[in-house]
Amino acid sequence: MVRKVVTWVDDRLGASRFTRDVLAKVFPDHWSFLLGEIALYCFVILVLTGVFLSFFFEPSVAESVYRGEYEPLQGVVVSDAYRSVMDLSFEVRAGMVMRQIHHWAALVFLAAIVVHLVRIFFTGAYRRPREINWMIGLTLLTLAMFNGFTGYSLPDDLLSGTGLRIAYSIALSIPVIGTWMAFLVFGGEFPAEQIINRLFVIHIFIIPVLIAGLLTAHMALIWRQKHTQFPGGRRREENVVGERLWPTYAAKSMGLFFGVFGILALLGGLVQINPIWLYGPFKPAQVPSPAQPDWYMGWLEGALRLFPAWEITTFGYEIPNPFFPAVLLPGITFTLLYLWPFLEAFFTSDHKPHHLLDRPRDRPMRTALGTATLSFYFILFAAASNDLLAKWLRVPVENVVVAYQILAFALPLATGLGTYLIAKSLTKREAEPPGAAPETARTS
Amino acid sequence: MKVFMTAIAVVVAVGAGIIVWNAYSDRPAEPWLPPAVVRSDSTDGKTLYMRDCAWCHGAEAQGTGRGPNLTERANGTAHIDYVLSTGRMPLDSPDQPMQRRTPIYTQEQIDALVQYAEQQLPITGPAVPELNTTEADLGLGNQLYQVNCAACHASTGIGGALGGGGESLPLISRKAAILAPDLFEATPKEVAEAILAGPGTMPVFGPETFTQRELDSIVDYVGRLTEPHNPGGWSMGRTGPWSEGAAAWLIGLTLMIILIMWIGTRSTE
Ligand code: HEC
Ligand code: HEC
Repeated sequence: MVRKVVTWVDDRLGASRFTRDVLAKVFPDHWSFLLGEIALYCFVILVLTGVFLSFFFEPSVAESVYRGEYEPLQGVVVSDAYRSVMDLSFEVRAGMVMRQIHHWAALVFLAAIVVHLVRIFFTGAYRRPREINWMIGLTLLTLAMFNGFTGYSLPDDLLSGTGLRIAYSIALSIPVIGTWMAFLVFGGEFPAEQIINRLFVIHIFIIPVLIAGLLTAHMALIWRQKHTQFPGGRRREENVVGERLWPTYAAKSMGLFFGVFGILALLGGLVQINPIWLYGPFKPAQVPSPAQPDWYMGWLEGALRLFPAWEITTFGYEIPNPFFPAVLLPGITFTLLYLWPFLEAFFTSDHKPHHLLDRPRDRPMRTALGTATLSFYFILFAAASNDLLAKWLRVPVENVVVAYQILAFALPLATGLGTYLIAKSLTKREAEPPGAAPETARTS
Repeated sequence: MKVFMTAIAVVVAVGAGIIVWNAYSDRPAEPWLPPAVVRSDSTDGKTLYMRDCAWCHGAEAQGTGRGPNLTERANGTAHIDYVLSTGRMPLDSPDQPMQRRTPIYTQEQIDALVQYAEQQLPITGPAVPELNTTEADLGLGNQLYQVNCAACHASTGIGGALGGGGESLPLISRKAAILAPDLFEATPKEVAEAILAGPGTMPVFGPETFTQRELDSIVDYVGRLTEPHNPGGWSMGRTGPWSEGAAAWLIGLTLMIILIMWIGTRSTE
């Protein structure tokens, strides 16, 4: 009977051939190819926990007196957004752990995307024909950052309110269109009434839908263009060596999903994140210290802290200071990232398709550029917590800033040069068979 | 692969080190040991003052080249009690930084010194405050704390580094760092004294600023804030998004990478 139904369906849809092809699809295996999958599963968990949170969140800045469980807030006037997140944390069953898993998942999501990007970069996986997927990936990174920031701002607490205020002043700093842009996004002078409501729609609907769509495209392209693989063994430009989707790869992937979920649940259950009850509700007149954004925005905050207080005037118009570190720098960063596959093809005159990956040491120039760039952004990121460092070292904040300003130039140079030399010496050592006498010894 | 694993191990070790350091660095590194001079014998205020304080602050608290005048700022015996019970005074040498340490005096000796200062020295200003936390309102204390204290001591109570104001960047500033300490060790009485006396660069919040009830409420809130209880779990020293980012990388993502290294071992074909 079952068989009859199955054949009936198959006759009409031709599903079995399709399924057979799908299940027999081969995936190369190397652990680093699973980094993107970690990001994917973080996204799934973000959606699951996010749906739960959205049942309880109230996107409104209308104010009322807090009368909830958290004693030290009794009688304080708070916005509905803040109160609903407090209730979620202290009164809703499993609310605290859901909130914490959601936030941890967001932090790890972005970390996984960045490491995935770094892997793609260092192995040259973005080369023809995969330039489009590289750009889709970058768009996903940008969207994830924006969504992280909007989510971080939703509870309307003092810390994130300060972040929004900074975002507002950054928008204002854009020449010519700044004021107009800021008003368009925020719906008026900061802190505008509509902002939490707008952020909510962006955070739970617009950006997640875009991410889901682009993720589908990202994976469809991997499917269509096949995955890259490392050279060696039977692996050639024209074949794919690895495990079939069913059962091996699927089993591994399921295992990974539960592993990722388990690790995030452990973090969410055991490690406190974003204690908004300590930060208190947002009040326009207050600024907390130390105020930092989530880590993926840290490089922008760091750039703001390191950029000197210069006043730069062009065409008789003074460009507000935040424009350079907070608009120009990310603008240049992402433009170069988007163009990178084409830039590299242009400079190396290599326009051929590639399905085999590079080992980083075989491309010393690219690898050196990569590590130098990473160290630059790492310094910017570290500079976002200069006040904490100053406190631990018991030195004036100004000195820490100067030290970071110097490091922002010196460290990339040093790491770039060091990487280049190490890569060269590694390939040189491989070229000589082990035990062979070095060239110089033979001539004597 | 080996190099890579070693690199990961190093990163994890360094990261774990930073987290641990971050969680414990607010605690005093080593207990301060009283200098060799035996000080803890007398319980007479005058003897103690003349022997331990006068050589820097003068016999009439008028100040010397080694220590400031104690009457000028008019911050009263509240300030004297504060510096003694937080172990900030006496210094061993005039250039020693003034920091919280284990006090070298017993409570009896502190009381004797405070009494001496009150009765025999021309010190004016707030007296050692009496607290009555039964009247306190936590919510009120919370709001007053956020408005008046959080900018320096952080809303989490961990303290912070205070910038030198809007001056342009000097190459390397020789000034001592201006730090607002964390509040985890202050007793309720010390909190009230700090508020009334405004030690160091902290502003004075006199009776014109806060009523007795407001003072009690802030003290009560600081006590609550600094309880080691964190409803969300381990607080990582409460250093906020910074340590959260570090944990996301060093715990979350690192564990996941170990997981994929385990399930995604490279085929040898
Ligand atoms: C080695 C010299 C020295 C000794 C001994 C000493 N002090 Fe001080 N004291 C100082 C210095 C220097 C300062 C200022 C420190 C600063 O502002 O960083 C100070 C500050 C103070 C202040 C704060 C004054 C203000 O207006 O900010 C008080 C109160 C005080 N001392 C009380 C005492 C008492 C009481 C004793 C005796 C138990 C004592 N000191 C012993 C050097 C000393
Ligand atoms: C301008 C920054 C600033 C503000 C605002 C401020 N403080 Fe302070 N506070 C300091 C500094 C600096 C010290 C260290 C003083 C010293 O060296 O003795 C301090 C010390 C303290 C101490 C002693 C801590 C210890 O463990 O020794 C307490 C308690 C304290 N403050 C409470 C408060 C409270 C409560 C408020 C709000 C009513 C407040 N502070 C507002 C800067 C500030």
